[in-house]
Amino acid sequence: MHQNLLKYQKYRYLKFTLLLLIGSVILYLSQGQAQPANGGTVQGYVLGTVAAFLVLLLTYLGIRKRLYSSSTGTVEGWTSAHVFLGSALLLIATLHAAFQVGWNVHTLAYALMLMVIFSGFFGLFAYLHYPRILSQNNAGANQDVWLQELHEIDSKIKDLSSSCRGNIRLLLLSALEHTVLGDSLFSQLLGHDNSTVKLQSDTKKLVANTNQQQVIDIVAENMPSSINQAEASALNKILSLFSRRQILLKKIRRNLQIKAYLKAWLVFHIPLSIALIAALIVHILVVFIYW
Amino acid sequence: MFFLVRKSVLGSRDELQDLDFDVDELIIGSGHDSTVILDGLMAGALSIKALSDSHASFNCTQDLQLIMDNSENTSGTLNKGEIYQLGIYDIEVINAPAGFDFAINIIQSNRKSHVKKSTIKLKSRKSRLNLRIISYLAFISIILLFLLIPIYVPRDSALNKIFILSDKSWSSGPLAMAHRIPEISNDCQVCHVKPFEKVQDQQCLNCHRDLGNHVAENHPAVAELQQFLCQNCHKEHNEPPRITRSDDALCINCHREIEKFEKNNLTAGQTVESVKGFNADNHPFFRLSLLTPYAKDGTYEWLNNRPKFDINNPSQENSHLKFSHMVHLDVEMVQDESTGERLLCDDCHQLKSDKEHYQPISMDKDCRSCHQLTFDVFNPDVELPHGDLRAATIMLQAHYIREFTDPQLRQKRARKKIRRIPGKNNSLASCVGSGLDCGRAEALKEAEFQFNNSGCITCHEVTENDTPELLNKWFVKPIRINDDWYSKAHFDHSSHFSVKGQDKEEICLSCHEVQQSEHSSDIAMPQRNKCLECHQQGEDNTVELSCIRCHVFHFTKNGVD
Repeated sequence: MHQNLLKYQKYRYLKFTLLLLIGSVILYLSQGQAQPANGGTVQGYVLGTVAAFLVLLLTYLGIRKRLYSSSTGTVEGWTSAHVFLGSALLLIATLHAAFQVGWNVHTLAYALMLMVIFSGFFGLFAYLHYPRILSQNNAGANQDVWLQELHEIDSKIKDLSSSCRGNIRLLLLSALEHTVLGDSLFSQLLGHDNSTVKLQSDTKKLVANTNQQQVIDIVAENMPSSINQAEASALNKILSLFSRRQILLKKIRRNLQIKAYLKAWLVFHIPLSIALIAALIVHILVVFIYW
Repeated sequence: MFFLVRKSVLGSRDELQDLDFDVDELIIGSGHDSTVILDGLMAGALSIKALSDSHASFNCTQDLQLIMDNSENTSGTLNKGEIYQLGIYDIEVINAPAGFDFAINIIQSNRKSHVKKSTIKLKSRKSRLNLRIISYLAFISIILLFLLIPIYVPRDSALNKIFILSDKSWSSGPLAMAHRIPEISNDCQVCHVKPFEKVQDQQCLNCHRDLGNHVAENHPAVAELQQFLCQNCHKEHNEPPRITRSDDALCINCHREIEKFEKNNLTAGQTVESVKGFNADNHPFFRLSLLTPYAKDGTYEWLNNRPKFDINNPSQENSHLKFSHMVHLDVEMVQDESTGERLLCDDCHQLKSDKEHYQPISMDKDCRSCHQLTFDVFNPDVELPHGDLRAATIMLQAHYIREFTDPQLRQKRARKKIRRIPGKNNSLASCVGSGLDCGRAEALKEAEFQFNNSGCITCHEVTENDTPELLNKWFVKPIRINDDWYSKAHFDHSSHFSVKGQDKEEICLSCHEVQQSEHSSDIAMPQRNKCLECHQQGEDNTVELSCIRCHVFHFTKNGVD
């Protein structure tokens, strides 16, 4: 599916894009006689008009993919064109600007366009790369199964914690209570484990329990000094359960990370695209207000 | 107190687990500080304090309630043999075995949980602002900050001082260097007066008041030229900041068919020459700007005319100067005072700061070091004044009258033995007669020599009349050496002094061939073909020039007639 996105109709939009780029370069090179190449020459106006049209066309993908009854091309075709023409925009707009930047609204539009395009590049990379990584991580299971198993493990640990000393029980229950999955999109993207644990009952202080390692270490240290056989047995089982828990949490966290990659770029791509349209409107208007 | 809690394992009603606690108060809840942990009770807890082995007081925290006989209680008494509902659990007070103060049975019921199943939950925090709202905000912010505020905020407000909130952020490129003054760079509306309208010529002319025209006001091309705005040739905000068009089309668009602009403007026999480029086929020969003297109201004036180049009848200069470049460049005849070598061009010709024209040649600066204006061999230190005929003749008279009137000077002169100098008048050593008569006679003789034989006449054109008055007998024609031979073009001498394999002298003489020039009437200005040797358009290995490298559009005066 993802490869077909680029190869759509035997690279139809790649070919079209290449022709567009060649034409744009020729147009750009024909400048420089009457005045230096810039957006205000005849050629510059043509390149700018093409670039502005492309921005609107590319933005229309967001509308087209929601028009399920539309017969104006396929969404796959629109997406393929979106990728190639979006890449072409990088050069066409640069030629329109004649490689000139400054502290002004025109460069603001250009900078926003660059951010939109490069966030789009990451999105394309994510769609081509991460689904395979995701399926490798899942290995036939899915997140719901892991969460169910995690729930059962937690229940069992709670039950078993009753056989433990107060401070150990406190530790175990605190570790369960303060295990964090998901959290902010930023944490998901980085795969951060913000889990904590309270080591003593008389304090509110929570310490990091990344990968449950803190609690695993403490349980292992306390096993030899168990107060009775029941506690020793319980701690032994708890250690096993926490080890399993550690594995499950890592898998779920990685799963969340990959899914975050797949959606995070849109957090930039969409608002920046809308901002770009606003900057484009300002860019065009002010050029003619101060003609 | 010792509590016994009999509790089902993993929700099973069949598998029970006994737990004993030695606490003052039994706390049942989900939190880690509970004595008995029950999943699904959220943050609530039930605390039980034994009153006897069959009674206990209870208290619920948070929203937790204990239900018995459809009565929901948050505190009260637990009695042996009774069953109470606590969330998804049934709590039954049972007989306390020996050694225990109180005992309860906790069994997970079949009722559906109304609380969450797991303490672990995916805490994916949803952004408080979703993408749509962020997008709308970004859109509105940009329109507001960069369009509406610069338009509607008063120009003298504090907001307008902030760069991004002012119309200065609309600038599409740097101003030309000459326009980077506060009056322009801080106020876009000095030029951009009306929205959606190109900058009008008046905005340029407000400052450029004395701008020269391209053609004279009565020229037939005026109507054509008035169609163009200043902007047609001068584009601001370019990068690099170049404000004037430099392409050939700027000129050639009109000059390729210049005759259509010149019709009705030509006298009989006059022709105009079109220009399509700089090569032999498309560019006419250069027209020299000649200065022609004419007498007007007893004075001399100089007319500037630009005759068409005629290779068979070359123009001549009429400066009234007598001068031979050939003599001065012949080392056998003239040598540099300090080196004894041949004179060099820049011994006399110094470039002005405009790099095109040369400093005017003057007697005092360029000639006097070799050509002193001495006249009386008995007084070799005395020189005639230069540039004032009347002053010179009066001085002659005064000098000789004094020489022959003052007895001491007269005696001294008579005793002096002097060597005759070729080219100098043989002044009298002594004279018989009054000092006035002798002085006058000697002054007249010297004047005749200066104006007819050698002296003034060597460099000047002199006319003589019949009057016997010394002061009015001769007239030295004024000299005007042309210093702008191509007045409708400009040229950078300094950039042409860098030619590989040639020194500056060779470069000068390669264009201005004066080595064989005997007369000052010879004009040694290079013609078109000399320039084409290096600048011919369309040829390989040449330095092509655009029209405005040599020509200007705005002439300093009225423009072309």
